[in-house]
Amino acid sequence: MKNVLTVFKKEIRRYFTDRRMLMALFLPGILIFVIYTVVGRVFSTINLTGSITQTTYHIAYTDNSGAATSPLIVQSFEAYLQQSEDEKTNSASYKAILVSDVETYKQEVAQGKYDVLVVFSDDFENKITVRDGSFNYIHIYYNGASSIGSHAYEVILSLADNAYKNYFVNIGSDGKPITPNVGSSDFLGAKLMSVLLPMATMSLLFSSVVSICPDAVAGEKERGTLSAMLLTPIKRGELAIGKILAISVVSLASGITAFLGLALSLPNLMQGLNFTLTPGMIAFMGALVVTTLLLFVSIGMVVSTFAKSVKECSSLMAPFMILAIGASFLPFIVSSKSLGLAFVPFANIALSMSTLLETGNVDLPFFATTIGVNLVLTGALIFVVSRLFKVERIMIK
Amino acid sequence: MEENAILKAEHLRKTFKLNSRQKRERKVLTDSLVAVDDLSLTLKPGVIYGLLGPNGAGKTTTLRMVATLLTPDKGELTYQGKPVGHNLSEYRKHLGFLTSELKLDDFFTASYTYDYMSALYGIPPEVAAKRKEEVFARFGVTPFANAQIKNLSTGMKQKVSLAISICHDPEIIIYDEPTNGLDILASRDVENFLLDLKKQGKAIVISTHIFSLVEKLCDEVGIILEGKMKLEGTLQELTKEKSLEDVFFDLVEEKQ
Repeated sequence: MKNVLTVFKKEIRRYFTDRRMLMALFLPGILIFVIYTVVGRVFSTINLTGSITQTTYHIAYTDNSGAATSPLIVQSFEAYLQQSEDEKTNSASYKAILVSDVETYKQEVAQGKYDVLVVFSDDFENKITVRDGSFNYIHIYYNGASSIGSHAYEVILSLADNAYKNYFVNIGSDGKPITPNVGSSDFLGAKLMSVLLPMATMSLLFSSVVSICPDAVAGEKERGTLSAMLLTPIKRGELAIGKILAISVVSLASGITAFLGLALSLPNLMQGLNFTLTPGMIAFMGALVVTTLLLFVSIGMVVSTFAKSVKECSSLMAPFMILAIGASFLPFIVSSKSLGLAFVPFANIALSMSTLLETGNVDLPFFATTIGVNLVLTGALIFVVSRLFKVERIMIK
Repeated sequence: MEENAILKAEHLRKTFKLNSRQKRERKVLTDSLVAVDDLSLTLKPGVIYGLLGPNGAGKTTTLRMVATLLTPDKGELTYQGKPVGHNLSEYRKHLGFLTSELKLDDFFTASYTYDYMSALYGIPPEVAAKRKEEVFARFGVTPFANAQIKNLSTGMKQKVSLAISICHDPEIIIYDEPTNGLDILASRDVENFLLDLKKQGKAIVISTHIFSLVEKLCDEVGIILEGKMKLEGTLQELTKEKSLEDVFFDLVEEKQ
């Protein structure tokens, strides 16, 4: 153990006091923050406020407005479609519904069958002109996950403001604020995050490992500095474990920096969307990140030990990186998460992360199996590294 | 000759597998190369043993086997009468190995590298600190002990390597091509270093193809050709009738 600590301290000193190495370790985190912030700002300007072309808006409204034909707001929307240059290729279908069906149609909006639901207070069109002190309102519901719904909501809200500006009308309120977005408020953010975060995390963790592992053994072999250590009385397994521990710590520091960069840039990236990481999600994510990192480090160490040079090591690691990043796209393809998938390395990590972020819940058997598979594989690979350290054809240049 | 042997290497044999590129380069059809065959040598305290041979003769492979960097296919190493294979760690504590291929990590200072290697040899920090002071002063390393190795000249690096190779005060010193790539001043430092160690009673083996170096330093000489020990004896015995150079070339011609 003393020897492991000696090797560990030397390796840590090597990485944390080398300016170039520090740059390689922590630059990704800074870059992620900058890039995601810029991307978020750009998307926020083109997302919901932009025009929608080639579509049919599906609008439902309650039939209690008291209007002779269709409510003024519906007529205004139709007129807007005909007059607007941006919307002339678009059309709208309207459906008058019973007040008693409002809750049903809210569900339809949430499911994307309707883009907007307009709910009027009873005899709305007549009562606003009488000014008898009655409480008149229009509620407009939409699904924030749909860009068409969001756009239609913005337009109708603006048209309603304009159409009823001379009347006492509560738009979007019945004395207390309502929630016009009937889609899952976290839906879009969670969906984006469930795809983005696994991919970002996998690639960040692997790239931090790629920036460190090649030098750890292959680099030392290439420079001729490893042989001196192999001649000392310490066991080769101790040397291997000391190096693996140090690289795990360094990679973890790099991974945390990258994760911080990501977390800090989230508010900018997800402008207008409601997405929060709860402490529970962070704890489970932490367990996944740490075990995934250990797995990646041990893969990197096997490759670094096997390779004769830094260049060879980097080339040999490329297929593993492609596999890891490729696996992070699996949540797009795989809809059912059977427990069997938890035994497939890389795929299990991406699917665990994706489930956690999309639903905010943990599929405990799947999650525990993933962590278990990560740890068992890490242990097996560390064993392989310590065996490889004893193979002179591999270790001696 | 073997009465006070500290280390005996007996009947060492080492073969290397050749890949297709190596076979093409060497123009051979066999899958393996016999680098060392049935080679024995004995090291004694206070004696410098010179392993003399042309490039590719098997000198480096022999020394690497003695240093336990390579494992012989056949043969045995005995340290103080006990087989080394049974107690590799203990043997390595008494072994100092130097070669031009063993490099120091450019990033660290000489002082830190010395401390690190001492720790790997299990030397208590206070003992290591005292010895570092002495050894660095002996080799003139003290003025640049805290400079990064990458900023040192070749000669300075050589001094640091020498100092570190004896950080654990080894009984056996193995030095592969000791003056290879060094200028005359650095070469002289190395020669003095080896003579110093000899005076201290260390058992030393060097490999070289420089006759003058063997004649200047060595007490015993082994001539190795194509992996086999062709001639062995004290320098006086071998040079009784002709120079070492003539002895060597006679052997080469005989072989051809």
